[in-house]
Amino acid sequence: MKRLILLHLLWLGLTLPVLGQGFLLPGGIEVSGNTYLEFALSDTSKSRFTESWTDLFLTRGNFRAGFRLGVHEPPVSFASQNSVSGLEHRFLEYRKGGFLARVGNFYSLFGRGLILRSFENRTLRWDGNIDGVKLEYRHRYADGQLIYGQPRKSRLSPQEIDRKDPRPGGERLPALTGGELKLKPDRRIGLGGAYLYSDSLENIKDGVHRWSVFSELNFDYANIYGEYAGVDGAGGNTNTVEGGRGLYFSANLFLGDFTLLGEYRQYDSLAFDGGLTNNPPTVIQEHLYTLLNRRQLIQNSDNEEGYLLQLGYPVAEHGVATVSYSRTESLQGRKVYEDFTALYEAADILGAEWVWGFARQQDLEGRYLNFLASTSFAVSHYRSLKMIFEHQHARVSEIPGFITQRQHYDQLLTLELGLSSRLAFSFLGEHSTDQFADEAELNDDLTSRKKHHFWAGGQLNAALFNRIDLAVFGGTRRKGKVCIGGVCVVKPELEGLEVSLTARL
Amino acid sequence: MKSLMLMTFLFTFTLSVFPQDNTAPDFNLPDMDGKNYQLSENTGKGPILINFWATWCIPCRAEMKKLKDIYKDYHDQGLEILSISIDDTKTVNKVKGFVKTNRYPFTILLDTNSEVFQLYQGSNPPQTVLIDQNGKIAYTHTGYRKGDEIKLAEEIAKLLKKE
Repeated sequence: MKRLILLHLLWLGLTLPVLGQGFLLPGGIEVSGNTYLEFALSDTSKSRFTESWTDLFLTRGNFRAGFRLGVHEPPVSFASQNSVSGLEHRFLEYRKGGFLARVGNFYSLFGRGLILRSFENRTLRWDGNIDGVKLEYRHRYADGQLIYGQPRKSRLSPQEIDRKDPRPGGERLPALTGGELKLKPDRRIGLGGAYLYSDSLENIKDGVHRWSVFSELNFDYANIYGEYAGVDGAGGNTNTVEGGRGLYFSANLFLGDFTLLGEYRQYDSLAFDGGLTNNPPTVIQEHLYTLLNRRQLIQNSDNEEGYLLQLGYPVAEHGVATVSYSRTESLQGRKVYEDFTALYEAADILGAEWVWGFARQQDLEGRYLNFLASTSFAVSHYRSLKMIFEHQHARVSEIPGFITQRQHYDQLLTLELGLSSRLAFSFLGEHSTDQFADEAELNDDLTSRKKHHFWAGGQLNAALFNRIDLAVFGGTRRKGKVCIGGVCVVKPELEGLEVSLTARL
Repeated sequence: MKSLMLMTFLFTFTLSVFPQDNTAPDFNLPDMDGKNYQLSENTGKGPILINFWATWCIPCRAEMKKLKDIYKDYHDQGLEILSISIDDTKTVNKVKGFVKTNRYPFTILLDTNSEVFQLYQGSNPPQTVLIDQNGKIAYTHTGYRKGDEIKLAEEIAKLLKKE
């Protein structure tokens, strides 16, 4: 704690001279920044957390320097990361035209991420920056980048979690050296390749070579992309498989008003640091609605193949219908995940905007039937009323294939009243029943074993001074999986207060 | 709790420190056909509205419908809209189909690893940044609620009046 206070005082000392001098420091240095604060006060200790960081950027001409001071005390369910505070980012960069040179913390993407994708996602509470050097150049006929640095380690060992003096920038994997080159001889054609070498860990003799080749074709009526990747050498980090391969292919066709998307993937021993340092495409329908999102696939890029087909069509003047089907199997042919989704979005029906949807999902635990309806009415120019209703029927076996099944009926209701563009109140309620499927069907007397659960809360969203976004949630919220791009985290049950505050300055 | 108080203090302090009229950071991004777009080569001609969005973002869709109207009203007077998709490697394939289906008329750029979004200090889409004729950031806004488009149109009209 003393260290934390000292760091804050140091930070105040650094920013104090700026006060009262406008946005220009002596020497024509522009100052910008933002502050983020999120915390939960809960009866359930597992869901208590604090996340805060302040970014400060100093810009002069083509040069830019950035610093991030952070305080992170993640929830227990995120225990693969430790509690840290201090200066977690710092960089200096030079940009001119399509050229960028950066020293310090940076992010990078090669191709579609089959061999490298370092990224930040605060919902997943993941910051996968690389600490090192990056050179990038974008030109009309070619794009290229070279990188060297150490990526952040996603899953820490118990010793690293318990470290008394954790590193503010996180623990690091061995250094990466690599580059990507993409040639664009014509606006319709792109051809490229990428290579990445990661240093060896102790006790493993050789490093790991990762490479990929890719090409894309862009026409008015079609977009086609294909990438093939390989991993040579044992033990990137925790993964000790000898060699790996990955194939990803996608095609978009635009036939009149129809848009058709097809994607295919096959990944064998491709995961880099559990799939958080590469993170290749999942090839499933990504869902944002809460109940649908909870049942999404956790990608295993060491042993999966799958495909997705999606069709979109504009119905009438303001309506869009989308139908998709995706299926994922292990390389041994076992079905891992299946999703069929149909969505219809319509505007200006009875003066409101509507969404209706149906989805059937299936994973190794069970199958889920979903229905959703959403409507948004404009009460006046500034006032609106929005309602989202989601229903899910789940039939699951805790042990796959086991005869005793459970079923859940879940209902989720969100009511939002927008009083102005700056102020909104919401009510979020969820009801769930849990019962043994067969018993409920066969014998009415056993329905007493059906359990009802309720969660309910209110949320205030406010935009203040055109710079600050404040969200305060109070009440109870169900534990549940949150998935983004095949990476899932479990948000613990909340009984209490959750506050998030963002200021862009 | 002490740390929380300190952070709140830090927050309120920094609030008073930084103003908004900074130079819009330059960037270079590909459009949906792979052609690069350089911001600095296009500033100075008129206001530029940058809108960060994603195909999976529900409020973004509502906002983009309104941006379509704003584009119709102000494009002839010199407004350009850069609609930057932050769809990542999982969903970037859906962008072109989404744009075609919804018939958006403005320039669409792809920021597949959200690096330009971070350059503009984005946290959650949608985020709107209005750049004036001198390349300075005149207005920023995060999220979308009914009525935001009215305020945005007022800010655009103000900039066009200054010309």
